[in-house]
Amino acid sequence: MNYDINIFAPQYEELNVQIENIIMRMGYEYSECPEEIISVTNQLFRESRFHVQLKAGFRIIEPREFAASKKEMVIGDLTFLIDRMISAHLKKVDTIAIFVCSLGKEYDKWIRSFYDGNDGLNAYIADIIGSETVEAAADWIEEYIRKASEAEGCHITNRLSPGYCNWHVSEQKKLFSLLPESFCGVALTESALMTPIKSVSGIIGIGAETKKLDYQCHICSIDHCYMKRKSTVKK
Amino acid sequence: MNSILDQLSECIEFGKADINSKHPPHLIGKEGASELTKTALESGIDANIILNQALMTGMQRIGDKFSRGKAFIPNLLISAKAMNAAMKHLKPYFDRGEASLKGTIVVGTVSGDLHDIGKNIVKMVMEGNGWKVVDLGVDVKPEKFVEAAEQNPGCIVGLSALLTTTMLNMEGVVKALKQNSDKIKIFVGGAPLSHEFAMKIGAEAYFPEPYGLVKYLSSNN
Ligand code: B12
Repeated sequence: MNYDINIFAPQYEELNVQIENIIMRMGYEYSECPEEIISVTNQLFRESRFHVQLKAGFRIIEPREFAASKKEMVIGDLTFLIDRMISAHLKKVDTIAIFVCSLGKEYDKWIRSFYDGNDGLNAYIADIIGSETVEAAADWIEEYIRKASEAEGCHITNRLSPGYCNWHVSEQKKLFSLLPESFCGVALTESALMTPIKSVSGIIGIGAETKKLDYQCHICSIDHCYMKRKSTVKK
Repeated sequence: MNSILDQLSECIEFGKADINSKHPPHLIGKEGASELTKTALESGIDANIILNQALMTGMQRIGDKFSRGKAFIPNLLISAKAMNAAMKHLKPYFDRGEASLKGTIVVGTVSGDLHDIGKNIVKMVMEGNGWKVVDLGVDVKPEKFVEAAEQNPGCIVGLSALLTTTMLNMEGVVKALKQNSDKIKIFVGGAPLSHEFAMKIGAEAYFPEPYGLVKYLSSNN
């Protein structure tokens, strides 16, 4: 395993961002979305890539530094508070990769420029495109980590992020303390918010015996979570 | 032929700002909210009637569709755009006091939080429904809310937050505002919030989407 700090600047073309998913994120079935909205979305979607300065990176923790139980995840001398929603995934992992990805601050500025010009519709659509794009960047980094792990005979878990699955978002601070300052251009505010806004952080478990579990939405009590909504829609 | 007020409601509901708007398909080439409002005023229809019987009706229709899951945020936003186009013509009447808005709402995303899309949608929906909105932006400290409340006597306040960490800062805002004026009504929203949380921090109510607030205000006024 490579335990170095890895940072990439993937080309936009390497991401799989689909206009259909953007439309669906706004609530519409693609076939039922008003023509006007599809056409504005298309136009902004084409433009969006010029405002994306993609950064994605990860660090794999050395297995001897890592341990996980039902209620805790320990990395070096840091203890993270988790519960079975996360620990279920970590049962058979040897270690984890900590990842971050971000669209960069120009994207936030681009969205802001629409608000400044009093164009709420464009601002909203540009925002939604950004969310879809940064999720695609997270898919990219997951795929990279999967391939690198498989090359070493290992498997990976799903992505697990602070703020999801009963893992408190304030634990971002501990997670970021394990990364170089301003990793992928991302900084944390006092309240653990990442800037630029269009950023995602999390961990991915890695191990020879690791199995990919579904997200444990059925045992989660948070109704507003969109992972849960997604999983109920699928059923 | 529909009355001009009916046509105007339709333009608002479907988001047709002016004659050049390419939406919706069945109104292409026809006059939009801007032209129709101008004509209505010129023909002597009272600005209050235009606001309450045409524009609000249109907003209400799209809002109801939104509540029933038949329309989504972009629909609300194009309707709000059409509404703004109409309001430009009505503004002089409001400025002269010949017509009045429903009230003032001060909105902001609480300190520590930079998420503005939710708050901005609240702003646009409230404006579209005849409220004056004072937007304090993001990362707003309690003192700024208090100052804005003082400058806008009789206003209500809307607070927004994205994360479970930043929503905790709402409590301080509610306390500071209530200390200053115990009658002030504070409403909260944002993805991680809940009714229970709103009650715990002493807010008036929580709404998962802004149209809930609009409806609540019209039935409680
Ligand atoms: C899209 C999204 C993202 C995007 C974009 C985020 C952004 N701010 O731009 C990305 C992928 C980047 C992202 C990242 C993260 N996210 Co996120 N994300 C979402 C998601 C799916 C939608 C948010 C959104 O933009 N909605 C659209 C807007 C329009 O909705 P809104 O802001 O909620 O506003 C509406 C209502 O709430 C209401 N409203 C809002 N304010 C007010 C005020 C009043 C007075 C009223 C009446 C109504 C009202 O009206 C608005 C219009 O309907 C939500 C899940 C959800 N169910 O909402 C999670 C969510 C917000 N994210 C969450 C988390 C945890 C994160 C991350 C910390 C994850 C991570 N570790 O990477 C990061 C943090 C990012 C950062 N910068 O720090 C959590 C937050 C809860 C918590 N645990 O703190 C949520 C709730 C998901 C969950 N677990 O349930 N996220």
